[in-house]
Amino acid sequence: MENQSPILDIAFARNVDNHRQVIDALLTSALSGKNHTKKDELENPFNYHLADMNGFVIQDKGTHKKYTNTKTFTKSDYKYIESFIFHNSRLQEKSDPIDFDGNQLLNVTDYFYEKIKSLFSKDEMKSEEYKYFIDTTYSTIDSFYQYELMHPNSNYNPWSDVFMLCSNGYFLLCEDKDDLKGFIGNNYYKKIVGEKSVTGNNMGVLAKGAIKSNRLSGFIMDDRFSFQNVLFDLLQNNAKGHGSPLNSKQVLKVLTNKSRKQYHLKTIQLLLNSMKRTGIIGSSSQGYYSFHTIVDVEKSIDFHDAIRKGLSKTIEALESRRSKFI
Amino acid sequence: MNKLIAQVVVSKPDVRNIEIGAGCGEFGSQFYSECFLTDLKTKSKDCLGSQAPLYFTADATKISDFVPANRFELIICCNPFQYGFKTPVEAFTILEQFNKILIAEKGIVRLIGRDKQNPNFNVGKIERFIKEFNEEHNTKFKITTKSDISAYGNFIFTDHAGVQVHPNTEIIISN
Repeated sequence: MENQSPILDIAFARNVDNHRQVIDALLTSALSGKNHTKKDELENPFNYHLADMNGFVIQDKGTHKKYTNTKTFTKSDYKYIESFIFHNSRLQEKSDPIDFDGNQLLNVTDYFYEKIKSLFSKDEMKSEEYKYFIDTTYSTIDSFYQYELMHPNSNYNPWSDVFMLCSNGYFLLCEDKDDLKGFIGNNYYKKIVGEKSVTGNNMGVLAKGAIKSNRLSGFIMDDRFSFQNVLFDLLQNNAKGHGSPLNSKQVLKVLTNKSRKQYHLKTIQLLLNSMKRTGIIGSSSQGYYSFHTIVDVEKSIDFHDAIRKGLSKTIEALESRRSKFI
Repeated sequence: MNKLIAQVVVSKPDVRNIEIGAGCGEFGSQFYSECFLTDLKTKSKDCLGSQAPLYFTADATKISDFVPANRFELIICCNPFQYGFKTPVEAFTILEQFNKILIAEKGIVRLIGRDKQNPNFNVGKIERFIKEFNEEHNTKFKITTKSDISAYGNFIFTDHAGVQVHPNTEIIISN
């Protein structure tokens, strides 16, 4: 996230001992933040969050199957996956969670709640306008720190991206499209949903910048969670290892050959990118592939390391260029 | 009120126990023979609990829409998965339901879960939320915690997808 306070650096935030400074900074940032959170600033971190969650789901056969075949994604699904992860963190971590002191988590949520109480009146806290935004933020902070306490400094904490999102503005998870419509009105609902046909009770994700702002942005969940599972299976079957990668156009072709459904290249690219970022699949300059051996993982590390070195060189060159203007 | 469901409840006036969010398990009917089992999911033939004669479909967070007020002596809630005590709004929602359907001054809620691992079941947070709820609603919910569930023997607890879970704590809330 750009221009964030150093206190809101994720590495600093992860240490539960820093929670007071982090929550203070997070609330200051969210209270005084810009008026508007752009849709991409909400949707991208949320997609990463979903991909991180899927990292756990794909490792349990039954749950993976369940979420490969669902076209809708309700708030109830989200809550289920959340609990599933806490009960089955071992799937991803390969180690048991630490039996942490429950008071540590309580201290975090108490601190957040007390701060909120000092910022809002009782009536404001209960108002439809603020109640759900506060509650989703509470829930995100709770999940982020619960996971950190269970598995300190893990790279798999699926709440990292949404936790940082809280510093960029408030967001909330709505029950379904009617709930979302209630918040944003019918006209704006049509605008954010666009051409998509929304069926079932898909969860809505809504954000605003500063809490007192009335400018909202958001989107309604579609089949992106189960589609990630479909893409994962596709790579498992058609792109086994670093030697046989598929680029996004080839992935689209495989999908189109299999069914008459219309797929969008941009969606495929977005979801493959989220999955790559979360380490579920590997990638090279030729495309994406599934992991089958340690070499597959190492090849993906090498590929991204080369990109990082290239970026570092560019930044160094730009720093030198900047000094000429000082 | 859903008339169909009300009939099931009304036709069994002596049944004073109800399990909410029962999933596929039969905990309620195994340990309390006369017990309604309820869950948000519709009846499935793969789901043993949902085949029980006293089963009906109901959302735990809206259970008071499905049963009469002031009706139950015991509410059972095993390993809450998609609802519970994670946030203030969620906790108050479920406590309001307990308050409505429990018989005044004679009701008990048995919550069973895995403390610190189940995000909807953190003992410290539940204590906090109940204290606040009592202050706001003028209720007198009291809470007792037992970190031993050996009374339930080798009962296998599962979530609604059938995945085994391992609760370690029982919380008893009385009004």
